[in-house]
Amino acid sequence: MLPEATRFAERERPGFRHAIVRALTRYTLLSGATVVAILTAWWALTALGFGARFALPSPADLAREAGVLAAQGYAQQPLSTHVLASLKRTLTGLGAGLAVGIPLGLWMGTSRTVFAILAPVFSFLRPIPPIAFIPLMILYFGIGEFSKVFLIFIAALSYVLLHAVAGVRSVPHDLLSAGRNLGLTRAKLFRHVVFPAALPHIMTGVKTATAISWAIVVAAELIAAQAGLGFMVMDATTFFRVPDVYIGILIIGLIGVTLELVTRAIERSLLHWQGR
Amino acid sequence: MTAAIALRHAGKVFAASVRGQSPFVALDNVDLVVEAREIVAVVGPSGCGKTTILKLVAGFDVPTSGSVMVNGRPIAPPGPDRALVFQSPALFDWLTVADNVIFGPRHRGEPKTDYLARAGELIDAVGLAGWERHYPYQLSGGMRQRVQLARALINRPAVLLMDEPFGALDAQTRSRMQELLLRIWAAYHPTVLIVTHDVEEALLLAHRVYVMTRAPGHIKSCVTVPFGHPRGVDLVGTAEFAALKYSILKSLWEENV
Repeated sequence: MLPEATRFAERERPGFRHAIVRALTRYTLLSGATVVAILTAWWALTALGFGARFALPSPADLAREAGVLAAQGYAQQPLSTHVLASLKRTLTGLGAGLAVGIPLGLWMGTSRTVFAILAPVFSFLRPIPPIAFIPLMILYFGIGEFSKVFLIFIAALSYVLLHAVAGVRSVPHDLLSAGRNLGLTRAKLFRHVVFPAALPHIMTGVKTATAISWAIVVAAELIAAQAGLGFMVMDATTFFRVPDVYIGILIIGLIGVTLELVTRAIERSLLHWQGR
Repeated sequence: MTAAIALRHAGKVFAASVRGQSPFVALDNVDLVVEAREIVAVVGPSGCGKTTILKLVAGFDVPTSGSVMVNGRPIAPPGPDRALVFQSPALFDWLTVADNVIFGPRHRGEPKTDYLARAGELIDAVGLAGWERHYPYQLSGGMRQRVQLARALINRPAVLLMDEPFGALDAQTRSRMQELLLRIWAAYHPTVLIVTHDVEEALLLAHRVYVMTRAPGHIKSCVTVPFGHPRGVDLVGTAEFAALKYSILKSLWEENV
């Protein structure tokens, strides 16, 4: 038997770092093997002379060009400026979308009335590819930062909202009864039972919203931007700088994977109690 | 002395949910009394309305006729004075065993030193010492029900309401839990109303057993169990126990004809 002080001490949680380490080590070897296999196949194709050199540069060509880009930047701006421009737009739009979407979704999940009022808006918006709104955004807000951030905001909002609603509705009935039986007020029931019980769904929404936001920023930059990875890919296509197109795509992909890993680690750390 | 729980001519009729269906009578003219410090069981087939009785006493539902009183007062909205133990574990999965147990008093703003001391004692009493900082996913089915029991008892309820609490457990775990409940009763003498479809469980645990039938939800008989406390699970091996069990089963069989 433990002394009282230890029995009720603040629990230690498997922390964020622990979650990252777990996410990285498990089956990392197999995944690494896939990457190596693809790179080898690519190298073999170019070495054997398949495809035109200008359309499919070899890994060595790309590595060389990446060195040049890293040193000189692209379009008179360092590479980091492009990366940070895209990341800043994504994270701003995503952050605002989550900040509004999670509370709004929880509210819609709790109140049939609120749901009935707001659901048509989001049911209509969600199936429309956000890219379709780009021309309108430019018309309304010009080609500045706001139109791109706003587009991401809307997309992130409508996805995380959907999952927050589903989360509230999935809370087991017995759990709510247990909370009421233990004498919780409505506000406390929401905060200490409904919210934590809905968190797994909300986190799925956060992951989806993050992935979608990143895809949208690149698409928005393809159409109207003076900096950013999407701009870089589009601009390099215009000037037929094919290796730069590849490098731009590779960076977009790598950052996408990183965002996925980070959100998954946050999820594992917040939902460690699911025992997965 | 007023009874801990008293149902007088209690009835519950649910309005038809589909047009053309007749209203559903869940309880019909039920009289049921639980005295303080008594264990009373309600047995009957599924759908006989025994869970409806618990819901009325817990305050999740109101009777459509008759009255339901707890300690002489009409039932109030759900509250910890009538603590529930569910068949499903119904634990807060994101909280440790200790935090699950103290959930009620903590969020009602009771003094921490009080409930922590009670929690420690109860966690020992239900045999979970050393598991305080584990999460529900790390526990077996029987252990989860032990947590529920402690989470209910920490509120010092006027009555403990149990809805098929051991129904989802395997036979061995179930009899260990029954023994635990008998030990808890011997230590704290809580007033218990337990609903079960298991006649053996009802006879083993209760001082009195109400037998319910499905036509529609009414009480057929009330059996006073002649065995004294303290009891152990080996009671089920005695001839008197077997005879009593048989007579109750027979009265239930008659209903199904």
